[in-house]
Amino acid sequence: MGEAAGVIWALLYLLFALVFSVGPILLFFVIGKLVERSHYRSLVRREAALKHIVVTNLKQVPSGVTATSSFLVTGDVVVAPDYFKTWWAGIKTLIGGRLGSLVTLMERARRESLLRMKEQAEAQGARFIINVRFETANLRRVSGQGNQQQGAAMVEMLCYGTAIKGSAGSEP
Amino acid sequence: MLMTNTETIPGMRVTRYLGLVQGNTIRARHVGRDIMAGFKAMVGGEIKSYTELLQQARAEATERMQAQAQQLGANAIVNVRYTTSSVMQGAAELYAYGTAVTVEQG
Repeated sequence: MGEAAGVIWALLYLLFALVFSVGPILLFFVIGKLVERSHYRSLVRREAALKHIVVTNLKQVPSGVTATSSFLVTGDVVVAPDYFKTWWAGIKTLIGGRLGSLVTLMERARRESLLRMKEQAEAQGARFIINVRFETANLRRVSGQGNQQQGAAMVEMLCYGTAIKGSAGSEP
Repeated sequence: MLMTNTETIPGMRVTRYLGLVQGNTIRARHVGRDIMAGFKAMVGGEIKSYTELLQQARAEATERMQAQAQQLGANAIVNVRYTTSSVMQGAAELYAYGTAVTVEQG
């Protein structure tokens, strides 16, 4: 009888420990995934709406386009990996290899900043953006001086280029 | 003030090069904002308050650059570049630079 109770208590203790150690990680894994999925959906939708804006990283105006005016457009976004991604990255840096979870985060940031730049161009009636450049900057967080927080840097993704207003001789 | 990040301004003709102009600003994040951002960072994705902060800071750096160009008598800045660096924990420097020019239509 006493032994059975002991086993039950031990199991309960184990469950308790498990919930509090793995629980948050699992919780933020699910939340992070949901946030990521809804962001991807929004990216796809907005990208489709702005498909007509031609973006290049060339310095020249595309041939066949006569520019009437041009101006600078920028788009930026600050992103951070979720709790799970930070934890996973911490483990992965011990083993090495591809950090897929961070790859998607950076991809989202880059696409988002590009979209914001395109939205700016669209708002001012430009159809082309040339000389597009991406710039990333590491932003360390104030709080959390410990090792655990060190890895969870925020990243700023800036995208900028020259928007061109003009008539296209031949539609691309 | 016209700005581009190409060497010329498409649709315009550069008449005079007036030299390098620059503008910078260093912004620190306040604690309340940082704590909230910390919570947001656990969920992952965009940290909107920081995006806004950096946008404001970049606008300020750009304004300073434009003010410098105006002093030189320029009406446009070409080859604009932006850089961000974290000078210390909790503060970021935003720097904008370019070449001040005068342009004419055509």
